[in-house]
Amino acid sequence: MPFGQWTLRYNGYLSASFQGSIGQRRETLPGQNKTLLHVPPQTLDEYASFVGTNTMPGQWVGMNFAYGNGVVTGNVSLNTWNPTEPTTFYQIGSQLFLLSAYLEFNIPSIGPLRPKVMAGYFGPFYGSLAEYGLGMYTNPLVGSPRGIGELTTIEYRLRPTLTLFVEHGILGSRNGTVPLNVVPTGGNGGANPSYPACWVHHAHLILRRTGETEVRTGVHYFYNWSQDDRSQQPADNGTTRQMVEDRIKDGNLTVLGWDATVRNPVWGYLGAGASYIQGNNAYPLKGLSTFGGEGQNLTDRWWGPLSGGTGKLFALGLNYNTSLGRLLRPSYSADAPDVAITAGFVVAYTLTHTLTSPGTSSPDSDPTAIPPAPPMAPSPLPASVDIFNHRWRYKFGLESLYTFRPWVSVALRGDMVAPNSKDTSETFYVLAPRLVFRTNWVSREAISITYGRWFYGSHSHPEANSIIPSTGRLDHQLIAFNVNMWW
Amino acid sequence: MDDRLNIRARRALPILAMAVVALVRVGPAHAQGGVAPVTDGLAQGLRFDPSLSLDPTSPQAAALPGGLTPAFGQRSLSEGEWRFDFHGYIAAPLNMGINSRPNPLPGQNKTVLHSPPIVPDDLETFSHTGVVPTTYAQLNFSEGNSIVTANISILARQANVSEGFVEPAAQMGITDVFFNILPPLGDRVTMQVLVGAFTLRYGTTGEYDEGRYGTPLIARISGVGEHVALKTGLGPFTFSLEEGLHGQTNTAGSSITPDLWNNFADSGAGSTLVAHVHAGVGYSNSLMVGAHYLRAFSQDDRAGTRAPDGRIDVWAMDVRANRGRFGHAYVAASYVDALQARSVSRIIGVLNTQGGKGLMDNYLGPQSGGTGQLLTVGGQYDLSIGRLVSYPVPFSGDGPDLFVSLFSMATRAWSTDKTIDPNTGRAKYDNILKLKYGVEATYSLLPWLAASARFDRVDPNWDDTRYGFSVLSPRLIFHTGWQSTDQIVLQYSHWFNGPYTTVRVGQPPMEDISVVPDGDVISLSARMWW
Repeated sequence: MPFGQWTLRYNGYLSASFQGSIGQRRETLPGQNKTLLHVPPQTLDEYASFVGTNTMPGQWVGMNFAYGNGVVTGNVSLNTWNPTEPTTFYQIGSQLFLLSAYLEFNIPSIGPLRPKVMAGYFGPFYGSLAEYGLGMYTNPLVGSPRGIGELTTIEYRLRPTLTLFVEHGILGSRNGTVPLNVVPTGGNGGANPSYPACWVHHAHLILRRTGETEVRTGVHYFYNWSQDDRSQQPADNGTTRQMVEDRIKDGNLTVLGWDATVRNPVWGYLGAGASYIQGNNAYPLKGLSTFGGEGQNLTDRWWGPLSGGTGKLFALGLNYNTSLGRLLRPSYSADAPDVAITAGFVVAYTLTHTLTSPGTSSPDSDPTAIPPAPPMAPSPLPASVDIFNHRWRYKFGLESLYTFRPWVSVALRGDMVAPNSKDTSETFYVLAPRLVFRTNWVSREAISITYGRWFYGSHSHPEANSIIPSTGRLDHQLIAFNVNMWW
Repeated sequence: MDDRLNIRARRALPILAMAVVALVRVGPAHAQGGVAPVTDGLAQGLRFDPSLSLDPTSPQAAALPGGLTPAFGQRSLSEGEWRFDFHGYIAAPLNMGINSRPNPLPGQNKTVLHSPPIVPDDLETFSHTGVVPTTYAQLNFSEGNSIVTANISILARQANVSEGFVEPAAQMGITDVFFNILPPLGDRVTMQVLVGAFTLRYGTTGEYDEGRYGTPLIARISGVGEHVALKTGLGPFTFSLEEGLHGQTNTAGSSITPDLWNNFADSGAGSTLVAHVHAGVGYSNSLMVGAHYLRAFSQDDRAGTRAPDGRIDVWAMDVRANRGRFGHAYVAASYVDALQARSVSRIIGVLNTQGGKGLMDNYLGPQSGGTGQLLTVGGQYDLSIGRLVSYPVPFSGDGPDLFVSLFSMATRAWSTDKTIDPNTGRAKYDNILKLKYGVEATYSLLPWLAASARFDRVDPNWDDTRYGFSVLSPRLIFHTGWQSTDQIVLQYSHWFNGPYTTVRVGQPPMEDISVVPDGDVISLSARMWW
């Protein structure tokens, strides 16, 4: 924003997709076709889940409005992950309306220090491995706190080409606390009074070296915790295995992270990151999205429902972007045919200190409670095998995009996902060729047609998906039509 | 942005026009008040106006009183110029239905006031006339150049400040998200590509809006997908070809309980695709004859393992004539063939119904399974006396004028549901003829004042007029100038109901013949478009 002049700025991003998967009916009755068409797709590509590969382009609209001058700017964003026009019913929570609302202060320099303060509702990302995004896979390698609070950044130039950034922030959970008499239903987005008010405190040290090769590296610390007696319920809900509602413990999550990026005009962009996540009774915690999600997802998908959110998770990721044009042509220009290459790799390891195998009970569980239901992520492994403890998971992918005309490119992407080191038959592969259309070599928009083919293992399964019924079969083929644009 | 805020003032010819010609003052020699969307760069005669479908950014609402229509669908003029545009439309009515209590108790008045009014005007039913204004707000944001434009719209059908309770589904939020691409193909062929999430409407009786009934006579497609329109010319003739494919983005799982907050999610509807093609021949930018075919189909085991695959086929023809001073006329005929359409989702809407289930609820009957046929014929004719009598001097709209519309619609339904109506002793859904017609006249007598009246007659069952009703709606229209983009309308409507006139009440709305409809409605509505 220019100094001394109040200015309105509007920028945004949209991605809208038609996605359909193709399956086969087991038995065909009169009036039924053998071929099935599923929208949304019944393939194994859950958003924000480890089994998600991001092969299937999703829906997202962000409209960012800013008004201000060189010192202070008011920012408001309108967002949705499901535009209403093509929906067949109203999904509470899909329309995010005013997702963020915050002020940004660019405080005049104090000697060698340049401070900047953000205050309001917002959510920064740490551990983004690509130049303009999270990389091939969607989960942030380090963490993303969300809520209302402040973030203060102080920039200090150590040398002309070396700058140190010190950041500190504290955020409160933006949704506050759900009143005691609220019953979780679809109508209120599953608002659960057992979820306490949560807080996130985080601090970061980041070094940036500028020059022909730009290097940035940082270390990160997050602490997400709750101390709220209002979440205590009069009685335990026997169907919830993740916590005992009448004896809710104060939970906490600690995340230590590191990330680094290198940008070179010839070699491209390399990002790496790692995080160590430790949770204690973290199931009801909100406000900090880690590599494994918030407390609930960490519990259900990484440490097991019976862990109550106590466990450890190690994650490491790499992402690399380059192009043959950059590598091979000294006078590289984006206005020419080129082959862009993107590669990504993620590996994760979990440790839990509670026995979480099927059919076993937690030490904290009430012996009179209803027997636990089968785990969310079913496994054919025998009951004596602990599914979650000492489990390795990894996935990697490679995508190549050949642009041979100003308006058209062809791409091919392949992914391998190994969700469970204890059952290699859960491993699956995805191959996805696609056509990409644009209005010029370098443009702000793209239209892509994707065909995806999933090669499942015999035990491949979703982690949590209400769209895929328990009796349903996964589809192997997907067709997606996506438009996206940014401005 | 002012130059884009054009009003398309369409003036119509009344049957008794000559009687009021003397009231009309001929305007000076200005350009015509109605201006088509910007189409610079396109060959003369190959503009997308008139087109076979309605611009997706047009409000999903019936025509404004007085024959005014917001100018949507604008775009930037050059490839190098990236421009932000903001258009919108708001309608905020206060509606008061007046009725009487049969047996008032102590402390109760004999007269009761209802908001919203209890009248037979539900959008999904054939009885809908659009006489009662409804809340609607649409904000259209676009960013782009002359080739590609990204469009996002935010839409609401309720304003939170005036709600008696929160209706989440009425706050639709970000609704349309799509590209509008106009590839530069030279002067002989024009192409328009829409991709993303948007609504297409075919069979709209208004020139630039959904017409007096707010009901597309052919179909409404609300989905995510693509739509390509090609147009080329030969002499005075133009040839149009359109195709599209649309899907949905979500499906209600069987664990979801239908309720108000989720807009009555229907797990009995499966994934549905809509494929459609259209062809049209135009003459001299004033006449367009179109042929349409749409197929909506579902093949999804999630709709129920025993549920048959459903489909809805629509064949239609329409004629649109824009004869300058002789006004605008539109006529369409459509034939709908539904087969086991219960599983077809609401991304397709025939006569404002929602998918196969809506077709069953409103036309085919609950026992039909979604199998039946509809034949619909309808049209609208608009004319301005001012424009007619000022010829050959162009009429600017900056003066008194009389604007008249005639409109009508008839539907015959055949169904496999042979349920007998106990009131008539005849089939309730099979071989039923429904008919409605109306006339509206608006006299703009001052820059800030117009007087208007509308009459509607509706017979949901032509064989038994006891179900029918008539509505008479005089109104005053206030605005800030002859061609202003705002209006405040004070309207009184009286319903002449038959003994079996039926309204829908409750959530979800269900017909209840025991409910006595309101006979009178007063409304004060404010509208603006930009």
